[in-house]
Amino acid sequence: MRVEKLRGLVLPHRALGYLVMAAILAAPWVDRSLAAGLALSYVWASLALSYNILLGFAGVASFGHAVPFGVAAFLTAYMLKAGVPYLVVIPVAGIVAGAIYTVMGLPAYRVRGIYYAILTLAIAEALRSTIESTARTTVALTVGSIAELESLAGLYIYLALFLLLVALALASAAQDVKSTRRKRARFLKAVVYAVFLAGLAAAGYRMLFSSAEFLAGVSAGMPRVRVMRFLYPLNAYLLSAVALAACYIAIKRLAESPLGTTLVAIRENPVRASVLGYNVFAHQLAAFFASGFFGGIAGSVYVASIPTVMTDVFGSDKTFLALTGAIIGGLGTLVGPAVGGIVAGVLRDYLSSLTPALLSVSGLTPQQAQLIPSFVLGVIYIAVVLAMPYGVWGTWLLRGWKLKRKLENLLGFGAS
Amino acid sequence: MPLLELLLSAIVDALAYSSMIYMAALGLVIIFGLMDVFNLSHGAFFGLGAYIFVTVFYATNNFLLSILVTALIGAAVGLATERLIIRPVYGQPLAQLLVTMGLMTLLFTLIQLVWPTGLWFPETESFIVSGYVEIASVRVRVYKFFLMVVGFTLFALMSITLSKTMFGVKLRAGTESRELARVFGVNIDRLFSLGFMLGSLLAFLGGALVAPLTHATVELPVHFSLLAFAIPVVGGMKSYTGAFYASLLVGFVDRFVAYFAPWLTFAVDLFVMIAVLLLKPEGLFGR
Repeated sequence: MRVEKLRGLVLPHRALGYLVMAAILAAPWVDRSLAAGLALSYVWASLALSYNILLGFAGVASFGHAVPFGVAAFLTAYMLKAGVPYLVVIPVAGIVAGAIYTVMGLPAYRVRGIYYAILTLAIAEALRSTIESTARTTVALTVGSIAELESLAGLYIYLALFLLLVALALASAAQDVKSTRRKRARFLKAVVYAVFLAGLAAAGYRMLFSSAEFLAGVSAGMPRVRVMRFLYPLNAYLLSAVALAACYIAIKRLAESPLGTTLVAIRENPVRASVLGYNVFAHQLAAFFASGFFGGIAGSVYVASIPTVMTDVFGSDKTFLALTGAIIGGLGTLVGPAVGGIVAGVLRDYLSSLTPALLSVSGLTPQQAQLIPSFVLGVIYIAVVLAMPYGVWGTWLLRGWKLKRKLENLLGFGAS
Repeated sequence: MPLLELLLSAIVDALAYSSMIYMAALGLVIIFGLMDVFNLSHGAFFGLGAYIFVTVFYATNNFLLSILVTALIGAAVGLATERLIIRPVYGQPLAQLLVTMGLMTLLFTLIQLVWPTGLWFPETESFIVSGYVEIASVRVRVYKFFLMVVGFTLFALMSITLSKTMFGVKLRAGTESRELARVFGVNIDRLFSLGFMLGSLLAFLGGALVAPLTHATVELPVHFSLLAFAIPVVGGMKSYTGAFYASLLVGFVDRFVAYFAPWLTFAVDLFVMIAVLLLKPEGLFGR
């Protein structure tokens, strides 16, 4: 039984997933500045995934998704300052955020549709402005360096995980190539996998080489500041990436479970579902809890990337970011929101740090230049809502097979 | 008597504020009532109106001309929005919600992009715009009375338009039942375009009229868009008179809280809205 399960890890269709995950881990070694920007975009991807449970599966539009996110971020900052270990804080923050979101979901029994969306928007804004105006100063909780992210163990886990993923990818890819019958397709697949794996091997070589150098430096008594500068971003990056992967796998399981399928049934036709004997409201509340839980985990991991938590975590732009990720990727799909969230995060946070340098000639101030990617993101969002109601990934799932067949014909190994 | 003076200035402030909120929300009530489109970007239109007005005012230094230009731009923006963004998603409430949410965020970003630090409305020589009068030893800005007059005039104009003109009758017919209005020969598509243009024009106009008092600050668009959502919610979604009473209610609650419990201001407006949504989702003054 055990062996069967282990064998199930290596399957032809999993090769791509392992390759992507290994590539994610390899990214910061290609360019170190990627680590900070990408870590944050994984947080937004987790948030988009959690938003997708509510809007995509349960079909409830809530514009207060910043509430569980913000609550978890603040709670995490408080608990970390009180000295609670980070790995305990994350699930606790998730559960509290889930409970709060469930309470916020209670009015959905009476208040529906746009009214509920406006209600949640008002709740999030009211929370933010109450905190801001009762404190009378800017509320900011700064977490010092987090002990868990300073340990060398993180680096070892990082390397081990990377090597494991590469090994799994290699085994799965070999199986995939072996099980492909058509000769040309097999050759093409082998070439593509080989290119990818070669790239990973190059990155892996660099990773192992510089880690060994770093470890030697540490044992030779490198100053603490330099150790932290190397280690801290990597550990934060690892945490966000692992959190994203964990959220993705958990939400995938959830979507395939009876609860997930019932939620889809309720989304499609609530009256019919209730006549069939499902308790519509209880299921929706469960969706609220799940959505809040994963949103809370995103909020908790956010603190690792941005150690100063301010009231802007309750801002509607956080909700909008989650919404954008879910919409661009495709509501109700699984891969869509993850990819969409990463795209949205990269556009908003990573590119906005590059544009001031690029656009300084055109007479814009840095603040203005930083906003241009957000603007582009808004335009993309509106275009996707109008032109692709199922999002990019959803449209691919619906229509992609046509394109795939065309491509196969073009390459000359179409099924004749 | 300091308390009396406080009360007097609070009442003047509350009336002016109510009038401002009414101007912010009126267009939204028309659009939602007629087309069932809850235009989340309405408040962003309002903010954009304020910014464009101040910019034009700096260029021309003529109050009335600037107002006129802003209103015209508002109508044009309304028409373009209706054709490009709202029309493709008619009859899909979720898509409308999502697309107008996107437009709202986009316009907020645009405003920040073009006017990063906000705009300050300059002092003018005009007595109405920048002058003060003294009532019982309280110095009150004359413009506040001007805003009240404009608010009441708009309400009166709205009532007359709705009851006496053909456009108003069609508008009400469309609000009551779109299908029936269509059967009776109302060109609903054109009516929708006109209604949306009118709503957007009113939003820009409201923003322009508010700007001399509040200045086109960075917070103005966000602040007033939430208030603009609150009015139809509190007053009853499709009720034209409800919007008027709701503005008075929210205006008075907000200003009196601001005078007597300043740490709760603005949040309290949202609390009113949340309470109404929870207890009486159809609105306080709805039919």
